[in-house]
Amino acid sequence: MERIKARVLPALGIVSLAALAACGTSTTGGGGGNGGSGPLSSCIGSVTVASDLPTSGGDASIGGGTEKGVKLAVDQANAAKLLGGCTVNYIAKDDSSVAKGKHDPQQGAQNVTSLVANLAVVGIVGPFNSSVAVAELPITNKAGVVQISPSNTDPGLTIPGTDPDIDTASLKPTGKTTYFRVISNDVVQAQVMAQVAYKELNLKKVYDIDDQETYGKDLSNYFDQDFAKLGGTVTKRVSLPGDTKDFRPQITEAQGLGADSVFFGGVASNGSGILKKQMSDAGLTAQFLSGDGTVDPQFFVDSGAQGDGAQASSAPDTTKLASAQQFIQQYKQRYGQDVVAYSTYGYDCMNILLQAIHDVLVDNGAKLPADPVTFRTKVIAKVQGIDYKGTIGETKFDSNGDTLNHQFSVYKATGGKWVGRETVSPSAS
Amino acid sequence: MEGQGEVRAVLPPLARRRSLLRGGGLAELGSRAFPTVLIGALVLMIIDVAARSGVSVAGSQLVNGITKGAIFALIAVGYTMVYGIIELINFAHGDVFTLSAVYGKEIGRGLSWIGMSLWGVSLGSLATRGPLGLAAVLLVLFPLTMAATGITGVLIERVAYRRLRDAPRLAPLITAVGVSFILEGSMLVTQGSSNVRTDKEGWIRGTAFTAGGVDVHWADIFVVGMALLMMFALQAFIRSTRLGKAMRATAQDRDAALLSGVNINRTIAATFFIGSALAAAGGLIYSIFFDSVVWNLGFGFGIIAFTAAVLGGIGNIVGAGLGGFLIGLIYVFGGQITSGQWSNSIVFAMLIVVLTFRPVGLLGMRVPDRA
Repeated sequence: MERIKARVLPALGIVSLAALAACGTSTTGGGGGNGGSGPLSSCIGSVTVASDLPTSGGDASIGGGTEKGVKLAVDQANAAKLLGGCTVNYIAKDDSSVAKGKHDPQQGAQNVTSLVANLAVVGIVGPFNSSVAVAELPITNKAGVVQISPSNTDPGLTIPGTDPDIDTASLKPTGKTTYFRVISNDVVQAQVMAQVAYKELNLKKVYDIDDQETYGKDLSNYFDQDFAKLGGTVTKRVSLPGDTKDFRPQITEAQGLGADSVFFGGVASNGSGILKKQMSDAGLTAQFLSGDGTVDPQFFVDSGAQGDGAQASSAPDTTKLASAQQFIQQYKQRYGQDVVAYSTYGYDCMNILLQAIHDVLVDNGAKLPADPVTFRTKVIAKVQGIDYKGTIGETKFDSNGDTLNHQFSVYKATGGKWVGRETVSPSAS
Repeated sequence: MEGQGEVRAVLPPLARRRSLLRGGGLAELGSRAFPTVLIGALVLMIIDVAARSGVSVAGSQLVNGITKGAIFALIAVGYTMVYGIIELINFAHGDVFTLSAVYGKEIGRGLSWIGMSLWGVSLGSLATRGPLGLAAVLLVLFPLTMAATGITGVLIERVAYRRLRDAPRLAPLITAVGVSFILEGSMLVTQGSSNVRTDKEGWIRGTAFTAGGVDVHWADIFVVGMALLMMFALQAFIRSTRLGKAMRATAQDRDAALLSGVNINRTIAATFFIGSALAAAGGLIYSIFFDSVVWNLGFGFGIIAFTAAVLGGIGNIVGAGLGGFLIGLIYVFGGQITSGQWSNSIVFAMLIVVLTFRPVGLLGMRVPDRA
């Protein structure tokens, strides 16, 4: 169904153009752009944008819900005549493969290869997963096509040397930044959690356990650095295999070291709930801290009632943001479903891309640049310089392509549920 | 005996290995010094932890290591019994351990349900009501789970190993790996891929006593007491019952035992029953201790318990028990010294060292002397 969109949309655009000509008014959609009567009213033709998200298999609910946000942004832009007389075509790609039953880097690489080969495509929203990004970025970078991800958090995608498993330079063969993301990376997440732990919860001595996976090890590394920088002490850093079930030796050690907090860098399936439960059993009263990998219902399956009191950082709960309320309603009206965690992020990604295209067209005298390569390059420059106020707040990018919106939420385990406690951005340190 | 040739190729008999060792000075020295070096290294590790983190931390880690070792020991006994009698490394044994925790969970739920409908009191909650309730549950839950797991062990032997008893040794080894996958797969399907609660929350809680700043919990005493009880009972069973005698006879010489009227099939089935039942005791202790089970739990536990069996001397029941406790201590203290990263590596390095310098293990292989 979603792929039919590309053919249906131009027709829709013409119909709405006619409607606009008839009544001479327009409503501004979520894109927040100019109306059809603006400087682009003389624009003729169409612009093609695309998305690459995992919309089938195991990621269908989260990836599909993100794609719905992206699609809504395109539809609203067309309805509101964001590009004046020009219309927006949309191509939706799915990077899940049958072989993997979920997101597949190989499928992602294949998708973007075909998208960049289509000279009409000026920008892509996606991918969803960091592992897919690793496969896609070199392709889009070489082709000079902008990519905006709603959800990649691996810092190694943009900052060299932050993830030993990723050669950041190889993702950028041209040396130019063509990849942007609207969500903060794990470096920022750890910074937020270290700050909350040290300043707000008044914790001074942490015992740090990671789960030996890339995500967990990196998160623990960043947390240790930031916590020490603030003046706290990392009493010990241990690294345990993901199948560890017996954390008593570490709990004993933490007790012996007089730690007032235990940080777990890892995902819930690698035992964060078990650790929390055993801490309670052993009478260790230290505060349990963790990251977004722990903000997962599995945590309570393992910890039971003893999970309460744990605190962990995760992406901001956008459903609570005032700026997201209108979109959340529109989404529900359009699809009859509630938004998923990344719908707002997908929606903002596409709106940023459309806003950048709009700005290029305005600069170019309401004409589509004749040379597709020039068009693509100009869009990248506009995305780089964007200052966009959307559902998730204000988005601006640094020269690496990372968002300057560094908000994270701190969640607290309360009555068997993760409850958003506060949303914080790290203070400069 | 058919198959004996292949066995020799893999593991030469004790006598020949001893003579091999006598040939090489270094190897012989390594073999002789091994127990001293091992115990010395362990003592050094304990002293190191005590010096760096304090005596009470070292004491608590000692408790952690011994309780962990008790579970390894119970599993290791199953490996060693089966090896002693049919010279098969039963790679499915670790998964039998996991399966027993699942059985324990389901039987416990069933009992709770019956208990609830009969007396309005759940058996599970009885356990939290003091020693009497706990004793009642243990007297019901332990025997039922051990019997169920024992029967599963017998079925595995009947289906996957019996027909291959006289086949080349590689064949049952491969079916053992196959059985392991089947057990893991069926638990993955029925229990899901995440940790599952075993409903033994709060069964045995509280501190029994505190000595030198070290809290010893009732659960710790229970675990170690239970493991020792089981192993002594097994030893007595093998020494003094008719079936035990039949097991020893079968282990020594299966053909001769058959000629003297021992029912080989029944004896081997009994070995699998007992080995699996002990793993079930380990599984229940694990559930009470950690209240959690996951489909692939037995993979890691199984391999470590196998190392314990080799360390103690494969085929030697006392050795398996001793090896289990030693490996538990090495795991905990080695883990603390190396920040957890090398816990598993230390244990498996140990396996290599044992096989290189002292393949007979600490207490000597009891093949084919005793089961």
